[in-house]
Amino acid sequence: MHTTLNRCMALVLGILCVGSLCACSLSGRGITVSSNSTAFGTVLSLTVTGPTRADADETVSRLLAETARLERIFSYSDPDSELSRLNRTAQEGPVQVSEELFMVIERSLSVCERSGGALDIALGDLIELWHVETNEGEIPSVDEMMQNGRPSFRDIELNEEDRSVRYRKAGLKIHLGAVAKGYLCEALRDLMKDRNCTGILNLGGSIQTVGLRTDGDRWRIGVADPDHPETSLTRFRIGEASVATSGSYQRYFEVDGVRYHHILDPKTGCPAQSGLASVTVTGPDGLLCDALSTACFVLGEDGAKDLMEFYPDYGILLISGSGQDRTVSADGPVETLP
Amino acid sequence: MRRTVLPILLIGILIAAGLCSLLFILIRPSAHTALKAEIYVDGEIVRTLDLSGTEETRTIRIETPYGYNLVEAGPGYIRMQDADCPNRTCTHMGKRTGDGIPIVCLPHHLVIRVCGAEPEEDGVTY
Repeated sequence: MHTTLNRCMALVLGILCVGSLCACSLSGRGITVSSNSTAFGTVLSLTVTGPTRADADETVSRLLAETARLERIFSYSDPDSELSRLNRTAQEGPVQVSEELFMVIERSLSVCERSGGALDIALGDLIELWHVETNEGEIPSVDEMMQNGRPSFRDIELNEEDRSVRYRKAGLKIHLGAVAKGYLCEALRDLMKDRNCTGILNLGGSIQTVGLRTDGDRWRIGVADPDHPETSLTRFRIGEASVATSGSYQRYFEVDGVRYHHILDPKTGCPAQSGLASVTVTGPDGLLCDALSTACFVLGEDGAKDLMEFYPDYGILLISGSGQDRTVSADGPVETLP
Repeated sequence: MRRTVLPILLIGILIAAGLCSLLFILIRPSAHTALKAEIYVDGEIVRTLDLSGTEETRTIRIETPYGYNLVEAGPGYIRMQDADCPNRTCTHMGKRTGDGIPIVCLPHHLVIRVCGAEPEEDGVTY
């Protein structure tokens, strides 16, 4: 009699344990906190889930501190950043730099080379000339600059032994706008994982997911419609990954109905006219996603697909045309949603 | 007799408690049912506006250490009506209804985020 009763109790307790676990799962795992601030000249949205409220709050504080630290290294506009100091002195001779700055330049140069110069991190002079973000309609003359053989990424000399950088050509200035947000995504991802947190980060459209959603599902990412950036044109699903988009609708000015956007083609010195409205790249590393989205935008559809063959772990979404002629094509490991 | 009743009573209480907990979790009102807009300056929430409990359109002036922003909040949406920032890009960002994309005024370190809607995406890349 007692044995039967004990078995019965064990069964009920077992059912209750399973039920409680299901209930915990339904109610979400951990505590989620959000933060919205500005960084790298854009908006930084953090959604972090930690084991406790204190863990999640502390992680958000550390992510913001890490962002500020990296901005002091990679900022082009801050005259006191490490990059600005490098740009002022590297033409005079080799300059020793931090491990992070050296590594980001080195990784970026690999994409510059592989893309045949479609990505060029030595565009500081051209970006200053166009000053797209503050330009009120003045189209600069780039002919003289281009004819005089302006510097390129090939004029950057790296020395791994003493971690130094030297510029071989006068006027060269490194601008890391095409890669720094992606590297930040990687750094913040590592910090969140070290602190046993999951979540999603969005830095001006560059996204990093860490782990899975609290319901155990993968993340749903929308891609802004180039004609109406406040709405999504298409969606795809990712696990833990980075996402970066380069588009002609993000920063631009218009003169006589012609749009002059911020993604410059190093070969012409002018805004890239490749027929693409936006390129989204998703994959394991943020820096590569960021760099490849810019390179692919400059290369155009065919060149982009050729380049992506070197990166089989990365998926790409290309949006071209406009209005009724808008087309979306996907290539590589990217799972689009209906 | 008492040795038989007690465990049964205990089992009954445990089942009742378990069912109540499960019921509470399943039917509790979601924290995100009401549509609201959170306005941040320098990363801190300075104002929260209810967008679902009203039919009227309101204009709210937000004073930041860097300048002012005029925000229009109506039923189910919010938009930047005006600002004294240099480029006024924020005034061209349209109405937001909880699609996940915030309104941003970079010169004024101001971010507006609509919460409570169930967006079809966890994030939007742009």
